[in-house]
Amino acid sequence: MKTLLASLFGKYRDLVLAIGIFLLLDAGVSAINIYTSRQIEADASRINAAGLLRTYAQQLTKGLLTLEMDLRNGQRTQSSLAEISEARLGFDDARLALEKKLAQPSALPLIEPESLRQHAQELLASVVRTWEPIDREVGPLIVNADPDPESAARAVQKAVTRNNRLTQQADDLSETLTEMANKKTSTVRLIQAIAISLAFLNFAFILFKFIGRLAASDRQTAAAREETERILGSVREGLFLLTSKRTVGGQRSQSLDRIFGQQLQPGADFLAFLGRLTSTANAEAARDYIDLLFNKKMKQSLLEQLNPLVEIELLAEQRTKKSPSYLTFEFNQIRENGQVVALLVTVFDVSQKVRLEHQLAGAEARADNEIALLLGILDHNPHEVADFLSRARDTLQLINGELQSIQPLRQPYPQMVNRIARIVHGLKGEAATLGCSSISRAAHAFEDILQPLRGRNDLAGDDLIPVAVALSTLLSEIVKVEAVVKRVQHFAGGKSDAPPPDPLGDSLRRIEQYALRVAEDLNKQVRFEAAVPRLDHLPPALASVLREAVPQLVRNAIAHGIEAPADRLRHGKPATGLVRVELTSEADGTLTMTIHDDGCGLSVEQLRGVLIERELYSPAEVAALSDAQVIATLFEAGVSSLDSAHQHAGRGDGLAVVKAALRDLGGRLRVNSRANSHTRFIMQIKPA
Amino acid sequence: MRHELRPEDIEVFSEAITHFFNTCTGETANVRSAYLIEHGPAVLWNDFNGLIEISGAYTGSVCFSAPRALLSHVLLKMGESVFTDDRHADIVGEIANTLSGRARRHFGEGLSIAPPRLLNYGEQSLPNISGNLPYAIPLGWHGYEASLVVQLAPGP
Repeated sequence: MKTLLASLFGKYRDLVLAIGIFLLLDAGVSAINIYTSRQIEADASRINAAGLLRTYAQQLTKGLLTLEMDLRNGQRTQSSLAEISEARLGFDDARLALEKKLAQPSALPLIEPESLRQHAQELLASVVRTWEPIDREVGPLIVNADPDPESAARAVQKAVTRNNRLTQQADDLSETLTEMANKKTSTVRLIQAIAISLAFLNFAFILFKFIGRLAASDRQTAAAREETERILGSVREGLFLLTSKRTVGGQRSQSLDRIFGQQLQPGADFLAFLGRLTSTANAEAARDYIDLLFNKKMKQSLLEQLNPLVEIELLAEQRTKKSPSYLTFEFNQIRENGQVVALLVTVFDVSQKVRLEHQLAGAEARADNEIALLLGILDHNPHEVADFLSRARDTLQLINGELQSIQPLRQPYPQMVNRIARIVHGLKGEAATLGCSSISRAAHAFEDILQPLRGRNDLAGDDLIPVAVALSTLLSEIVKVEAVVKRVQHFAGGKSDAPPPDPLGDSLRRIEQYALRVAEDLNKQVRFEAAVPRLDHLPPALASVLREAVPQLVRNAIAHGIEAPADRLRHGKPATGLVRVELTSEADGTLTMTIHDDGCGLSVEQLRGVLIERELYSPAEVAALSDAQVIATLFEAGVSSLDSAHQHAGRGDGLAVVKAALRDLGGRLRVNSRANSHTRFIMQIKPA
Repeated sequence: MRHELRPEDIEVFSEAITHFFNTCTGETANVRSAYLIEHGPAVLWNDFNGLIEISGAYTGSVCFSAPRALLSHVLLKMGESVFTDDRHADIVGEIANTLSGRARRHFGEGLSIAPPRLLNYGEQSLPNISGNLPYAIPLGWHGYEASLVVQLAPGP
């Protein structure tokens, strides 16, 4: 209420006062009108009374003349007496009324001047003075039912002699009263005209004042709007108000459409818009967050850290070429009387920032990878690594050639996939032993691509597109490592080209490093032992076995044979498992390479179960297999005793690679195992 | 965020072509196993080659290359009776357009695709992208062989 009054008598005080005066003037004119109508009524009554004086005076004279005639003719006088009496009473009544009205002083002397009233009183007094002698003669006359003619004659004489004067005086009175009324009327009209003029002036004042103020206010509003439009037109961020109904307000910055890549119409449902712009998860998180912001108990400063709309990625289909791909939204509560009535939403295009961050992260990751790659390679002989890379490249080119030349028949595709799987598995093992972890990872990813294709007999050409992509990835990884190795070789100044003094020991040290790394990855403890003669040079067949077969067998020994430390302790074994590599040379030059582990050994029963479970063989076929035949299945591609693949085992290709390598060398492979005791793979290679 | 090329990024093109053959001729084109082109793409160039060049999130090109006989057969299947060079080129252009549309849908608006253009026989203006070998996807149809060459890498 106070506020209302303050505003009434503050900004609009002039207006309120002017309207008040206007109303007062209006009320004054109305009051004058009422007063005037009453005065006109009173004036009419007075003029009428003056007229009655004249009428009754004449009626009396006429009555007296009639009485005299009646007396003279001896006729009855009752009628004329009654007329006289009536005229006398009427005159007295009119006179008394007039005296009474004229005796009252004027309520508004301005309207009815006192002088005029006194003049009228004087005129009435003269009428009364003329009347009284007549009245004195008539009085006794009318009380007598049988008047004498003399009295009547005297009365007639008085009346007749005074009649003209009385009439004249009554007329004068009447005229004076009419003049009074006219004067009064014209004065009132003047006052009314002045009051109406004042009211009109007042109205004009109000009008001009009000219009002036409106125009000024309009100018201010237009200037403010122009300023707002300039701000909203030039600000780079997207700005708009979000109402409590979660709709977009009417004022919005022009950059908004550019930032969103589409129009956000005023009144649009913001949450639905957001749902189209970004992922469902983001939109739902935003809905909850906005609900929190509209809660009056929630302080904005507490909620800022919860904002889910920071660096959100826009959906690909919503993007245009020039539109941003990452946005950040900021929300500011707008409070009125303690309630959150709206949110000021600021939208920032952070695409450039995010892109730079990603590029930076990518560059850092690449640098880290390159450092890791360099460190991994520095542990090994660059010559051997380069040799491996060259062979790997050749092998992949062979795969590519096969992809290019294979006939599009159903049968060759599955065979080719198995072949590629074995090759890639072999590369993975070699890469791992040479510290080329990035190649090893790429090969593992390649195997992941191949895995679902294996065992499918309905392969078509387009199923193999992922194979080509994985091939390209592995190839580019090899090219990358080759570049690093070349730099290392260049740095070493060509010294690395010289053959190592102890090639066998060098290879075994590499295999030992690899074995320890696999064990660490699988949370196992392993001791690596080697019992080999010193050789000045490596026979090519042995080099091939050391490169391809031994790493696979050592890896298998750790992945499948050596148990976890806790399991080993439970079985009464030392926590650290043993992997032992032995090489013996016979007189005829036959080399025997043994890879022994003191792990869990091969379980024929478990293998039978795996073959049935994976539907590699029917239960009847498995039942028909001898133990040796069951163990022989381990050398088939795709058979593994592990439930799931990890980077070091589980795809069932390792032993297939070993078998293929030995077959190429014309060697033999034997397996010797006892459950919970050991497994031993023995490779025999005859001299070429 | 640009990513390395994924298998589905290549598959989208082979699907577009097989869809084209299915729709226009009512017969399926057999996609053969994809491979990498290691020694330049010249051997692939057939009589008619439709190329779309791509820039933006990914850069490179996609080229459909087909021998005249295959295209003549396609025209025949489509009920055409005019077998001029222009009509053959139209078919290749139409396939390149299909590839362009499919690429735009798959990669989103972040990709800028130039209007398809025809490469003359022997013209080796396929832009090379260092470090990435182009993929070749041969397509068999009625004993003829066409090729799709996809060479894409994340943009700069």
